[in-house]
Amino acid sequence: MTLSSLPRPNGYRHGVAGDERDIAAFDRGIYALATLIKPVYGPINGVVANAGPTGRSAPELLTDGATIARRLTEIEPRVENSGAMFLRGLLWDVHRQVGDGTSTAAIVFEAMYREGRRGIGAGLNAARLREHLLHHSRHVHIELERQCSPLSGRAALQGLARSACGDEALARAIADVYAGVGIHSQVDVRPSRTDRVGYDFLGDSYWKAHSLDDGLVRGLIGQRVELSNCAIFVSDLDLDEPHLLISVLTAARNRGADSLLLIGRSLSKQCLGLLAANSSSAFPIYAMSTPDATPIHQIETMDDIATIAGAVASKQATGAGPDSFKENDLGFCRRGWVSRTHFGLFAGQGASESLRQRIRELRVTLRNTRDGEREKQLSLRLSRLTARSAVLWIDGGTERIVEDRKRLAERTCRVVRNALNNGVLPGAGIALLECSRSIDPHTAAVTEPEEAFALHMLRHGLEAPVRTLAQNNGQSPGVVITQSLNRGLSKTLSQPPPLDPVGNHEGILDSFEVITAAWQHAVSGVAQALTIGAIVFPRSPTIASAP
Amino acid sequence: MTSQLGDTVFDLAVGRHTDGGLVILAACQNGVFISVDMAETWSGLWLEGMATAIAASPNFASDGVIIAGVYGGIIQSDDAGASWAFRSLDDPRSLIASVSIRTSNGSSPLMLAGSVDDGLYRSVDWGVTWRPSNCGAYIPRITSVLAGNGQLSLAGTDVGLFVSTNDGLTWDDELAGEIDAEVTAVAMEDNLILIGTALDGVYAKCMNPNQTWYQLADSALVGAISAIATVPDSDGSIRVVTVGNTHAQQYRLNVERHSPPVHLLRTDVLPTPAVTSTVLPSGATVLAVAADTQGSILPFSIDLESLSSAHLD
Repeated sequence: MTLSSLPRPNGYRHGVAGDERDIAAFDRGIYALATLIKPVYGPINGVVANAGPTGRSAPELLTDGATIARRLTEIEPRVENSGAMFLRGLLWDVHRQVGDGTSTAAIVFEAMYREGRRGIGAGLNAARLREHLLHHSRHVHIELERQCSPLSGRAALQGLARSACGDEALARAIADVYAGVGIHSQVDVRPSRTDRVGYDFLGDSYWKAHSLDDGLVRGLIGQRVELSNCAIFVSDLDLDEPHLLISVLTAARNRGADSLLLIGRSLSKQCLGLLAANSSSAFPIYAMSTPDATPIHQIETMDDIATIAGAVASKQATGAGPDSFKENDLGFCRRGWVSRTHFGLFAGQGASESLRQRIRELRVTLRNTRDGEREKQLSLRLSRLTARSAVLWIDGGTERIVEDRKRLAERTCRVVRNALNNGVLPGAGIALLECSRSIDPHTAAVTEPEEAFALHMLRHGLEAPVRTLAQNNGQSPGVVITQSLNRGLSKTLSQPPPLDPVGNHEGILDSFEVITAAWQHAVSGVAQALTIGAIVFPRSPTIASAP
Repeated sequence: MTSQLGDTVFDLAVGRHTDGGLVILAACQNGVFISVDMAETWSGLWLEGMATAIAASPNFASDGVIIAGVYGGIIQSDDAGASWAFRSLDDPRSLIASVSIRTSNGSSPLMLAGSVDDGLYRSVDWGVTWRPSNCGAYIPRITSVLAGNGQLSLAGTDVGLFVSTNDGLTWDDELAGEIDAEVTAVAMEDNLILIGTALDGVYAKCMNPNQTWYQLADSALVGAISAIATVPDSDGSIRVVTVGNTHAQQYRLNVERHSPPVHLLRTDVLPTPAVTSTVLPSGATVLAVAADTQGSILPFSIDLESLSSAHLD
């Protein structure tokens, strides 16, 4: 019984594609997607028009590799589709990991893959080729680390942002924002009311939460309410004991507060009624949920809020309850605000020294953390404690354009943060091109033809970005590559690269994390793809011609 | 000669008249007062409430600009105190601890106000509008501000210093390196930052190249520092004159500026403990004006050349 004749309960059968024509079709699928992406790589960003599912509406104009890959959901015939989907999956992994670099990954992948297919067609062993590819690609990574430098200075920030988004006004705004607030900050991207790119620096600390008291905040849709001289009760308790709320209310009034913000896990109907009866325009009361989903994060966040406001958090874990509340557990802020989805505090009355100490400890913990997710969480906490937040306003016309611009801005912000964290490389493909020098010393020590060819493939992949830029710019790739290598890295870093596109290309930088992710995914993807010997795919079910 | 204002003095400022004469301004419990005869006599300029901070424009002789922090906002005069305009701040209950003006010589105009509980405020349109500006300035209790030189602005707090490189839009407590002290006075000369503290004297730091803080010797003996003046010397060194609670001191920082040695040139005892003071470099001397708890105001000069300080009569 062969694979192709296995019966399936739902009537589907599998097909197997494994001969030379099928593999060539698989390759064509890969090349099709790579060809789509090349025009948008630069130096002058091209555009790919997506006609859409019906082809009857105006085409969507795409300018980044990730979106192009995402839009390409199927091509015909099926075996070619397998190739395209293989590359698509790889590119989406790159995008998910670092938010950028899909075009670089596609170009490097395609260049190495073509050469790899040529080598296998000439009789080289795919498995050996794969082994040598993976082994020698580490030289490139070492060289990239050597080239990596910290991102510093506003001009460099703007250059990196420009490389990532291709929009001068947006790059300038993002550079201003991150030059001001740094990496440990909250930056929100929102549609501009004035239809222009801009930014505002905020001075408050704010958290995502939801309103527990829909009745009290009725009329808040789309707005936020400002609170002054605000008492704050910080907890993760279920606020279902009227006795506790009465104690909190009494304490707030005794201490001269003009408003009250309650933070808890939930609010019972009975307590909601109590709050509604006591809330007024002269003394507004609001209840918000304890921020963060996981218990450990909730405790950390409660402690942060308590430090800012000078409160003592009432935690379930410590057995806090209605009878344990004391008047001094309340915190205070000069100003606060609530909306349906967030609340913010400003000028907390917590002890300055305690806040400073907490920030200091958090900075040390952050410096010593290697876990990516934990790092993000700590960075967010630090941004709130130090009140480093900003809003980036983006322009646009229609809702669709605004959404596209928002995605572009968020992606660029992510690239900038990565670069601030991990450093930058010379852009415009120069960093990878320079790595080809790190391959040369190993050429003399090859042990078999597959190793020599693997080094050739790596070199080809490293040259591919500059080659593509030259081709897109109408220049001779060979000449540009030679010129770039002759200039050397130090000159390239201090002077513009040899390409001379329309527009300002000085100071082109790439994020170290993005380039290394693109390179690693491309190499491992090629190593995998070259060893694919057959493709199994479901056939469409037979459609009955009679009822 | 000391004069008795008979009022609690919160802050002092000095400026120069068009005729070169000195003007002393006092922010007091009962308003803003001015003396044009070296504190012999005083006139009320604005008497509508308490004023807690005051600054005169560096170009006071030509623009006559004075700003003062009052309860709930800033009052500003553009005619040497003849008339005043009130600008409300964001929170009507802000108490202002310090104000500073930078004129537009080579950089855009900037005014900063630091409040007791509500952080920092900033104006870039000559005081017409003031906006809160606390991004990164997470300690809202501001003790002293300096609008700066177009490259750096400074804000002292009860636990340290914030520095801004974008005219007060955002602030950073790590840029200058952490310093754990209640900052009571700030000053700057080119790339050198100086802070006076409540208990630990005066610290200095060079920002370019970025060095660590160093303490000016014996500066902690004089009590809370209320004013710092810097006078560059022709050989590249800097004279630093500080006024504390009980003493005035004069230092000479080395040519390199960014590390010791720092020479303590002179220490002089103040006739009465000063609660606030201000200083104004004036050629070969530094004019200092100090106020005590009784509302007595004492102007005196510190001679940089002869290392003697003399009281003016």
